[in-house]
Amino acid sequence: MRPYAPLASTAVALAATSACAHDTVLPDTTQEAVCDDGIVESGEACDTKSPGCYACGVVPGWTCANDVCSPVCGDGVVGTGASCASPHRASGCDMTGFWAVRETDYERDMVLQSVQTSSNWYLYELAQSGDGFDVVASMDCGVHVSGSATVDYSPGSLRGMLHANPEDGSGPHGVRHGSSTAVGGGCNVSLERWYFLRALDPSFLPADFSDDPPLSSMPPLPSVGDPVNGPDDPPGATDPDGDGFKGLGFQVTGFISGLRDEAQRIWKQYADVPGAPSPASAMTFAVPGAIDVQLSVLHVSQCGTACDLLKAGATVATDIQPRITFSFIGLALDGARTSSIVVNRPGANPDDDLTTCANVRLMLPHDPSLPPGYVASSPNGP
Amino acid sequence: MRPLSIAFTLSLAAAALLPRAAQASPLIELAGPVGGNAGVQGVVSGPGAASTYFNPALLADADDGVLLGFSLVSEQMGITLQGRNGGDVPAVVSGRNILVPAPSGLQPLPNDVVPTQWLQQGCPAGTQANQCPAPGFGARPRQGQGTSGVTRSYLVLGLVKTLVRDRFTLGLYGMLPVSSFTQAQAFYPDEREALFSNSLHPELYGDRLTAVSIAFGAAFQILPELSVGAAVSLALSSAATSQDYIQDATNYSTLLTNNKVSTTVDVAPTIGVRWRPTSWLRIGGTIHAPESFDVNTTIDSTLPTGTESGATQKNVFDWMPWQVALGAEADVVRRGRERLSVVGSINYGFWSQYLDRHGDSPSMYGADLAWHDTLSGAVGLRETYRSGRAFLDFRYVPSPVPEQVGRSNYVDNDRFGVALGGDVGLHLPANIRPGFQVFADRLIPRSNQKNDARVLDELPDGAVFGGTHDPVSGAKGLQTNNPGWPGFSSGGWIWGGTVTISVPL
Repeated sequence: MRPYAPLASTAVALAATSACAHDTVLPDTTQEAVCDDGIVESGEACDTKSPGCYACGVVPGWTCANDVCSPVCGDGVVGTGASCASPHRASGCDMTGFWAVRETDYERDMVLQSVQTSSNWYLYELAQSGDGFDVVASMDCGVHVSGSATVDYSPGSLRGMLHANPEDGSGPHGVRHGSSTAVGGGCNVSLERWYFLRALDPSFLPADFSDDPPLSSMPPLPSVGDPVNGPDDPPGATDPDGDGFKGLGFQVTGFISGLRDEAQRIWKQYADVPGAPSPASAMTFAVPGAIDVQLSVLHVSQCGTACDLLKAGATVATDIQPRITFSFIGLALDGARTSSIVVNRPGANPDDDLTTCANVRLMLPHDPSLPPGYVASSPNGP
Repeated sequence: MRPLSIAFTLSLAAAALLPRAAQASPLIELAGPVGGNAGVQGVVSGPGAASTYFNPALLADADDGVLLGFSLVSEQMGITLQGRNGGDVPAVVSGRNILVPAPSGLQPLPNDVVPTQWLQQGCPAGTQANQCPAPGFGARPRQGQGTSGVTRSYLVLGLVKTLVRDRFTLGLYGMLPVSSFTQAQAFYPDEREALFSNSLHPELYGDRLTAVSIAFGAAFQILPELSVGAAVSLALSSAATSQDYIQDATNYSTLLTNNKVSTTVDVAPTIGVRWRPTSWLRIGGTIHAPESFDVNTTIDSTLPTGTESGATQKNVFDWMPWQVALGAEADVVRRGRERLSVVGSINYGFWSQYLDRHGDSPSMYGADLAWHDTLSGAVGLRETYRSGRAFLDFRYVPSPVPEQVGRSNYVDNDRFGVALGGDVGLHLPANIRPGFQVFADRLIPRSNQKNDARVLDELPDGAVFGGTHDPVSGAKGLQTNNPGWPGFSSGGWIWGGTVTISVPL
């Protein structure tokens, strides 16, 4: 022991008992932010009941100053005053311009037979001449299903499906047409039947859609014997999400979870019911329609002990009418309003396309509610 | 060889073998000169062994002798962090699948951004959601690893020897930590520190007070009223290279490594002058060169994939600036064997050139956050009566650190202090001069309030999920783990004392 150690120890002990400093951390002044409590807290851009504020974030095409949200005018949108009150389209029934589109349909899972609400988003650029319009550009902006399970495109699927099933004439089936006709103070809007493939090669559709063939008239979808253990390589199936398994990957979460790769064939068509037109010049309106779906589960993974449940698919709930909801973005990409939502010409850059699609989903968020009057517990509806 | 020469030679050899010598300044500057009745104004007052560092020219007037002392320096700086008012980095960033806006488009969120919840509560080991791979992420709550409130003890050694009478004198002065011999503790002064201690630390104390501090010097008396002196303190520069082969990035116990360490020695000079224009007035001045302890660490890693990566990190410890000091001491009473004098001194420190422990200049946080040069000063009295001496000094040392309104969290305070002490010559069987001195510096309380716009938003508003580009909830506004946000304050005391005994040679 060093000779001065006792002296040092004594002196240090004495010193340590006096004039000691302490570090202090004062209590935090706010609790964790809670969305929908009406208070704009840290991390929130807004917290008010307004279509311009969703999940405490500002919806594209809106501004929220001091938690008061108002739409952005211009670029084909007109309103009153600086706050753009009562916004509407300047073009009446003319559908020309960019649109955020959400298709809502309903399914029943094959395990519990409970109703699930499905949203499928698109970006459309439309060009109208006379009473008819054509799809000039389109993008598949994703899927979200709520109910007994939550289902989304996997990230790979979202990227892989962006420009699948083209409706703008760049594919083998020409241009998808629609119409918007002024009638009785409103607009009769329709969008012709169109066929979609997910993870299937084009041979699973007829070359000509014009006679509206039923899905049952087409070649059967590829199938596999054991989606859990594979490995099957069904002919005709593709792997658009690049996950190494044939089929389009859907991420399932909820009481079961995992990744389900499916092949799907779908048609959809929409038209206003005679006598019940859509409001003219409306920024957002919905048109009823019809849908049919065929699917084949090709592979399930990341599902632990629930793989047998996961491989069970869903069927269309034919007793609940689907609808398509249009929300006007703006007339042209050089407009400030439009370019803040459609950040680049569709197809020019995949990352920009994903950003545009995220904006589309925010403009028309998923609405899990069932149509008024529908009793959810009834397998066959009201 | 004469015994004295042997002792002096041994002293030099011992100093040369110290494991880490010569960052003299931070500790010695704070404690002030020990012995010689110099108070805290060694530039002109003394003389004694401590003049070796504070003004080597004064060695010409010092009596030959050996100085031994035992010192305590207690660093009692309290840091108070304001409570956070939101600003948490959400847990979702742990998924490492977030893109943030950058000039070149969306880029991955940097991996040094972690959820605030992890810092405060940790992340348990496991494979489920909200769990981390084993062994998990340890909690490091704010200011949980503060480093102030430490009392350190030192052994003081001094030696003065005249080699040529009235011409040439040598000096040695040093302070050796008794416990926790030396430390060099780097920390980041910004949000990056959240990944380590998640705490704020006093910038100019702490490990800067643990260096073995040694200075050697000599004085040459040109005229009876004029002498000059020079001293050096050794400045070390270390380089460490670690060549690693990483067999398993999740298990570093399998790491293969070869290390190489080299150290070079540099000297930081001090020059001084002493002028006595009249019998009652003494004037002294010094220039201290900057010094630091530099450590350059190079890591060259190779992965089994064949990927090789290397980088060199620079650490700078115990940095001291150019300093220019000037002082004057005047006798106001000379009556028989009593003498009373007044003394005053100033010191200009070029702290605007400061380099922190990571070798960064504070100006990297903004021109207005660069440190300032400082002008400190002291005044005091010296009383000599018969063989007894005493001093009383007051000093003011401003902080070079501006208010920390941005990313940086340099913690420092202005100091106002008092020092007093004395010694007496005793004629026992041997002539000895015991003494004591104490000082207490008040760290004048100060607070720092952050400007949110100048704090790094670790999760920018435009953050989106990589797979879908959906916006990240909770990204609006400022999210930061900066431990100093939204503000902090500091204050306290630094005090110390020394008992000494001088033995003439």
